[in-house]
Amino acid sequence: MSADVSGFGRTAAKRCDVRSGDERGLREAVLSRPRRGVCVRGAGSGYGDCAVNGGGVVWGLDGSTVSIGGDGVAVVGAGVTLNQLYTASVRDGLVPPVSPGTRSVTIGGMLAADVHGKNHHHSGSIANHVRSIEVLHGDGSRRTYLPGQEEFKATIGGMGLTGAIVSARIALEKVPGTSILQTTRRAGTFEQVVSLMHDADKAPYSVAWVDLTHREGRGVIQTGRWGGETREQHFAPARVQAFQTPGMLLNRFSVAAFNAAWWARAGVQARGEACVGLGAFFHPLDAIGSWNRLYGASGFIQYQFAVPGERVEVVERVVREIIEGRIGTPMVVLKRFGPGNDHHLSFPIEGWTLAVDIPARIEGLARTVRAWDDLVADAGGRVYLAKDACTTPEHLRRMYPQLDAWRTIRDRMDPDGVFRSDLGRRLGLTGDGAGL
Amino acid sequence: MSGTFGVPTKVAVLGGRSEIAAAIVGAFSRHGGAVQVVRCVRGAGTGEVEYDAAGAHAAERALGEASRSMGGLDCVIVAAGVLGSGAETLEDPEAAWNNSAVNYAGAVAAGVGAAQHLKAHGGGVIVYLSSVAAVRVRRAMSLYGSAKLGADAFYRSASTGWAEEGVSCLVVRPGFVRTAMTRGMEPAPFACTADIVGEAVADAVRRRRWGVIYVPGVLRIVAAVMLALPGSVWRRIRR
Repeated sequence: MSADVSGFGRTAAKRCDVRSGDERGLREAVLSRPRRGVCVRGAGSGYGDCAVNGGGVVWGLDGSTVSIGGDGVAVVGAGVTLNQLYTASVRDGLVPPVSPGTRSVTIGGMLAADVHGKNHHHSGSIANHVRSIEVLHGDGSRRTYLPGQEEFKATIGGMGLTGAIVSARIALEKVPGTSILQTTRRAGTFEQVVSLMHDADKAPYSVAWVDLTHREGRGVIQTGRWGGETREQHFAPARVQAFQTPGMLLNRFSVAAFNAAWWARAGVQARGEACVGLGAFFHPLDAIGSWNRLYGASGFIQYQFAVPGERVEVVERVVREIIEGRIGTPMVVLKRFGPGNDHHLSFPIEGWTLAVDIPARIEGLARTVRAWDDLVADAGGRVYLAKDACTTPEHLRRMYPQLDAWRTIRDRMDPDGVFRSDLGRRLGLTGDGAGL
Repeated sequence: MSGTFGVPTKVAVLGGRSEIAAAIVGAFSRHGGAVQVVRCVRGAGTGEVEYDAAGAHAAERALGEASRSMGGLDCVIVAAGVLGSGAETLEDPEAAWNNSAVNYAGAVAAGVGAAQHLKAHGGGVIVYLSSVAAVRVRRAMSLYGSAKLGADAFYRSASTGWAEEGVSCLVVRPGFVRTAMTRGMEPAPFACTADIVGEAVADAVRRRRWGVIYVPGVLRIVAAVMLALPGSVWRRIRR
């Protein structure tokens, strides 16, 4: 079926040959050597063009299953969503060891992006918990890779460009209960947010929501630790469903009002430790279905970058520019990262990460983002490829020092360049395959 | 079907020496950041691609080369055209043929080739530089105007089919534009610069306002008046 496909940010849609099926079907598609290659797409939660393949095949992998062994290791198909894995594991007191901000991601997508969660400073990214992966190659063969192998390191974090991950063995985390004891604190300035986030390193989970419609960049810091049982439904379906609005409705006034409400709510929560369900703590945005549509037809970008701990001034400068530029952005998330791993394209590095949602229609945004890319690269930082929609090959080279090593392994794993995406083409990670 | 910021990022210009096309690329760059561009011209120099604007398969070949060198393609600007002297082309059949070959046959072949390439890349944008002269042909510009009228009609009609396959089309009808091509000619009312046309095109692409745009916008009213004029009055217009 031919359809327009874009990332979660709904920018740069491309007409793709959209297909779905099980691993056998995917193998047939791969062996048919489509002219513009094959891109395996999970739940479509990558913000930019990582799961878009203009003019080529986009494959949704289904028919995947979960089985959990007595040792707490789950054998999971790549098409299984995080929601399904939670549902299958939580009743046994086990949970996925790393959880990004939404449950609407597939295991394959999580591994391809080497996702992180609110516990990165304690537990690292998902790669740290994977025991093995099964990869379907461009020649139709299926191989197993183990931690430490070069192919393993190039594939987890490799954005689906080395081959298709079809299943994985993931060590789940044994937890004492199924609730989170959440502590909320408010900070009146961004400097205080940074300071409180340092203090929050002791907690297993920590995150800060920053209000950049406020001139001081105030914020709400939430930390969490495992508690006992809760009666709260863990994974309630979305309470409301967003519909596409004219993008202009999301302006700095409406955003400021939303942020003020968030701040006031945090004031109530700050009175003591609260016992909350897993969904409420880990995936608060899942309460609003399709919230990305609120940004209107022109969509939005999420600019997420990481810089080393000693370069926090880069984060402060970006924050200041957003405040002074009066860019109405409702979702600004600041997190601490612990040490990164040795995967070539894995995003986290020890220090700070900031994620900012910005409507794509804003005048001059391209120049602003380019300048931020320079700042981040100069500071030894990088942008997150799962969110990226606009960085350049030159910036990527400066941000990911292991890029050449990754390319060598990628060329070995997929010599015919079967696995491609628009992100790969934009950043020169793969060839174009333009045959005409 | 454009880049992240709503404007294309990999642009091929057929008729790459066009000042208007250069201004459009400049406006894309101001709105969208880094824009890669390949100019397709006759007698190509370094970094350019050979393109014969009157050739049947010239656009197809040139766009293939352009997309390979950029690693993709999401916009084709069809800008090749010759103004010609009205008197010369009306007296010399060969000059008339050559003028039509570039302004009509070449332009149509370019549209067909561009649509094929963009479809293969998952969609994109075709910008056809038409002219307000295509609205109603004046006798002083019979050849140029009639060729533009034909090509303009082709792009408008073909674009409905292209849209179903992810290719959007914008037909641009500027009035008198002060460029090297019009140097020495007396400017018509509502004359503008190439930069103004460039901004108008980038704005329409960002807002996804496909179809026909006039630059400046007031020409839409002028065009309506032109169409409403009785033939007896129209024939008396000498310019």
